[in-house]
Amino acid sequence: MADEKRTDTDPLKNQEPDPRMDEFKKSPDPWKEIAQLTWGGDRTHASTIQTLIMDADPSQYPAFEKKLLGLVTAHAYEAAGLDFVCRMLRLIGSPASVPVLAPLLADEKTADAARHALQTIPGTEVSAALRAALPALKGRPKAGLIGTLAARGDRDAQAAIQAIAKDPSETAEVREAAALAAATLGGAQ
Amino acid sequence: MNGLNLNRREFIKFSTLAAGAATILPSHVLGANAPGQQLAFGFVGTGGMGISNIDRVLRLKDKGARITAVCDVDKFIRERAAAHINKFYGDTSCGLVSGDFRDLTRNPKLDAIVVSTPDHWHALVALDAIRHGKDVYCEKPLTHSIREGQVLVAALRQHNRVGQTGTMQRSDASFRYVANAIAQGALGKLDHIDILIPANNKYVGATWAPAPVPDGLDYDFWLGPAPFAPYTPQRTHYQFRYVMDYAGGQTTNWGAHYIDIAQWALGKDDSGPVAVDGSGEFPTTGLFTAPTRVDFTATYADGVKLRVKTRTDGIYDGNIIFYGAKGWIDVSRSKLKASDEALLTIGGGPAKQKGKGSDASGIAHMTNFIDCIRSRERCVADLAIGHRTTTVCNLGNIVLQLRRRLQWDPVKEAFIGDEQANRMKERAYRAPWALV
Repeated sequence: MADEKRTDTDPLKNQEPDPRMDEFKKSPDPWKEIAQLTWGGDRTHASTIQTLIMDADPSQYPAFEKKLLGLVTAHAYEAAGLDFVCRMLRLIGSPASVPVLAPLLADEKTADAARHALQTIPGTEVSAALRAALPALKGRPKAGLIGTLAARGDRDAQAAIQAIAKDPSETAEVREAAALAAATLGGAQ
Repeated sequence: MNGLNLNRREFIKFSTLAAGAATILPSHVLGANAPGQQLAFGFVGTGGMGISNIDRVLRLKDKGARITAVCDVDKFIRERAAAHINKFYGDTSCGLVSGDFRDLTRNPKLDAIVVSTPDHWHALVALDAIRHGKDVYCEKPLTHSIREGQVLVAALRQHNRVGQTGTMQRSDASFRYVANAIAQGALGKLDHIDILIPANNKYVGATWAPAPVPDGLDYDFWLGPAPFAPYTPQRTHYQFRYVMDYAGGQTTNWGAHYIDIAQWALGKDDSGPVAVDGSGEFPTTGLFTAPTRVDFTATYADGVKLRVKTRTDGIYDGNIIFYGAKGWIDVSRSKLKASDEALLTIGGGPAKQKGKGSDASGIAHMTNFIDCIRSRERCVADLAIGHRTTTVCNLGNIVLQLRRRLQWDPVKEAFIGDEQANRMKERAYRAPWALV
């Protein structure tokens, strides 16, 4: 309690500050700690945040999303930390996540985590960002992205995916994913 | 007392119809899949459950089933399985031994694929098999996510294949008797159902360390569509079921068996509950992420409440008790009890079954699959049935995490008014895998 709030009869009123109190009050901020999560490391802070997010009222989501995105833009995360942050964005993310997560799609090391979040976030902005990432990718990440577009039922991606299915410069894995996705999207029409 | 005044013959007839069991057709109406023709089986996943399923098919040699191919991402496990099979046959006819399931699912010489992988692989392997003209026996829980089940069932129907979910209690005489007795109103108006599932039987510490991948294990393939995480020994064989990236803990492991019996007795094989609520406890650190305490209640449109709880008595089996206006019936793999003995003797009671317990029901279940491959009838645990049961398990795991009452539309297969819950019906796959 601040000194000015103490009543005159409070024996702690006007006491000299105890220099040890700062140490006593120290407590890690789980919102910061989650980005530093390592594979096999203690998940306690992550579990705290996960429970907070699962229990939250939807009106709290934008503030939580902002905190999570701030960790990504700070680029001070471990691989497991980014994985966790994206798992949380999967649950509460909005199109506001697009400018932060879309650049991650281009890097094979971060693409899966970004798709994990983006696949279930509704919105045309999300679909547009996923489609825009398609031409620059090759191989495994491209096959994964095609799967995400199909899962979203993004018919606007159908023409591009059909072309990929017939493109001999793509890997067999990508062509097969594209052929199946094109059929799925065609069937959805 | 037989409240329904059914004689044994009528009861069995009803039971067979209700279960959707295969009709054994006379040979003159059978075509290319006549009983004399050999059916070539391929096994994907040959660890603990895979070996159990292999043994069932080996013992059904006289039904014309022959295992000619095995696949596992662990070289030691697949070679051990092939040696076991070839020793049984006394030859080397199980000659296709692969680490890539597509060598089996796309092989024109195979008729049927048995999927006994960790749960996160079930949908992709079964889907590829179905799309390449194979009939499929897929272990329970049928899929890892609700959307996977929807895609799998759609493909099964589109390609007109036969699919059996590995919920072998469907082929157990006691469970069949109880489900059909209740479906016929033996307990009168049903009030509620209590299911107990075992507690976790494996434990880990608060932290774990990445470790070198052992020789012979294709770990990247083992992870498959699941998010990347470094190898550590307790992640893979058996214990995978306690990591939510690969399975759903005991909710889906044992829930798949006992919720299946409830769905059957309620006549909800093509539907499900309309609401679910509950809460669970989850490990807050360590490798395992699946719930350690489960307690959720699914409510059906007619008001029947199905409660699923973790049992605390240390017994490693499930249990289901049906409570109705006329009494109760309590059934598990080891017992069958009722509030009135007469409830256990309707139509003469449970049919006699060769063998004992899960071994007998496992054989009967695989027999039904083989019969259905030949007859093209739907299996007793058709994949669509398995999908609906697995959905209830997944609804449970979702509500345990969200800890708020969720409304479920079993027709649209969607949560009503809860965006977050709907997002939990699916998950993105790790590249290059795609659910399309």
